Amino acid sequence: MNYSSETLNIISGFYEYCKTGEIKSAGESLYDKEKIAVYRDLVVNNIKNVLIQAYPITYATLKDGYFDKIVNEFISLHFFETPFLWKMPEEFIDFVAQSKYGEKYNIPFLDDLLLFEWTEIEIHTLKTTDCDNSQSKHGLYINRAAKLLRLNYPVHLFAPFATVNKYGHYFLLVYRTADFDVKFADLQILHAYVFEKLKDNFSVGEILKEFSEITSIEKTSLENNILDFVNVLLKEEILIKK
Amino acid sequence: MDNINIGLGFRRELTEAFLTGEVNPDFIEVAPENWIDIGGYWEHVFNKITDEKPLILHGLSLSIGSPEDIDLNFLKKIKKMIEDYNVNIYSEHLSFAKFNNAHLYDLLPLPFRYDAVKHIVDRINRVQDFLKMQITLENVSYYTTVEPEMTESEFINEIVKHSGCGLLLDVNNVYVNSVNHGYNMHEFINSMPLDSVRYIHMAGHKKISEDFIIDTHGEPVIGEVFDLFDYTLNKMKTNVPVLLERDFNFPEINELNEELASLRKIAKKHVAHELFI
Repeated sequence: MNYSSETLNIISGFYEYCKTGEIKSAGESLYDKEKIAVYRDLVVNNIKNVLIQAYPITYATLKDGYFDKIVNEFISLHFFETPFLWKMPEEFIDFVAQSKYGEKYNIPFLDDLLLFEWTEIEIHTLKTTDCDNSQSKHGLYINRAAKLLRLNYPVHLFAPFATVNKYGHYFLLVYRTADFDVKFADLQILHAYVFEKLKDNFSVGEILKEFSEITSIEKTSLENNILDFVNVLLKEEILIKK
Repeated sequence: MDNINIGLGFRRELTEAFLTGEVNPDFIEVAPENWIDIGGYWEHVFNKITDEKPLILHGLSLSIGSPEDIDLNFLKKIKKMIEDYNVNIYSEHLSFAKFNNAHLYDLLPLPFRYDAVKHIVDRINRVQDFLKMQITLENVSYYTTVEPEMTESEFINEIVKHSGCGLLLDVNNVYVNSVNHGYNMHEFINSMPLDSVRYIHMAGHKKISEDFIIDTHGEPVIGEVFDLFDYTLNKMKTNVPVLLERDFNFPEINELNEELASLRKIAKKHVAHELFI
């Protein structure tokens, strides 16, 4: 590093101002306040706009300036790791969860809502070369552009604030079709379990055998239920024949 | 062939116009950061368009002026994109966008100081060694200087001279900076290392007041910037690719085509002039 401590202070002070909106006292005389405010506005607007695009439902749902408040704290406090601005909203999810904004502002579904919205982007943009079928032992594999979410609030079924009193266990399958559309399927717990087993490379026969050993549910009905679900997965190309 | 290359930044809002051929520039430019790791529909569209058009990369996150080490994982991805898409020009900004490895996603101005020149030259050399190609850096628009030890022109000249990087001459930025900092734009162009210019940018801006302009890329190119472009080409000895930047507030396609045609007309005039030299 060839910067002198003086130059480093100039750069660091400028960066800190853009990030927090606060000028360190030592730097007060160095900066034209009106002009550097342009940079602060550009930083805030850029990050905020990308977050609004990624989380339109969250943005529309949060009232009383909560969205702006959280975003401002995110910009000031978060260490932005990704060099790819389009991926930055994923870092927002962890920041919000770790800061417990859901609890603090009485928005219990907040973490689930962000995850739900981000997963749509994640699946929509997932690289097809990420599909790895080499581990499949039995001729079937799960399309990598498919992800199972476990949610505590059914934000995929109801308007966000209508979910406040519906705490529970919800399973949402998010997947991409061959036409690049992202689809959502609300799954029963049984189907979520089967999906996870298929993903873990169990064959349909192995899954059926496992159920016949651990459950007292009438065998044919259970088998038919699982096989119907597997057929839906095949039809939707969530489950793919090798 | 007149050897003129007039390009347009590919933005998602312009996808249909590109796919239907409604807009048909000689090449496209994208920010690699907006396309790296993108799959699905947008990868499909991107590949379709880059099958037809040569691609120039104009990066945002290299942050050549940052104090920390170069992010080699990031640079590996840039290198792969350069190889995958047969890219000849990878351009970036003479600015910084992160500090202590934390990004801010904006182009922050560098202090025009001697130690900054040395620091940046070292980093450019590291990047060029890693990519095994010359990189091209843009003169950025800036709204304030902090404790400078030299002029912007001296700063750029020193960096280009000592690093051997190319210069992306953003003509609109020269205009914007000349108004914001009260210098003569023609003298500034005269002072640039024009033999090192590899690429030119043209764009619109937003006038806030008589002495304050913001570089927005959201407005049409104004007449004075076209004139400065004409002036610049007249001073240059070789043709380089010229890009029309438009990032938002998109007009009707015919307006973009008119701007592209205006750039081509000016560039053509100078090619004809060159033939007689």
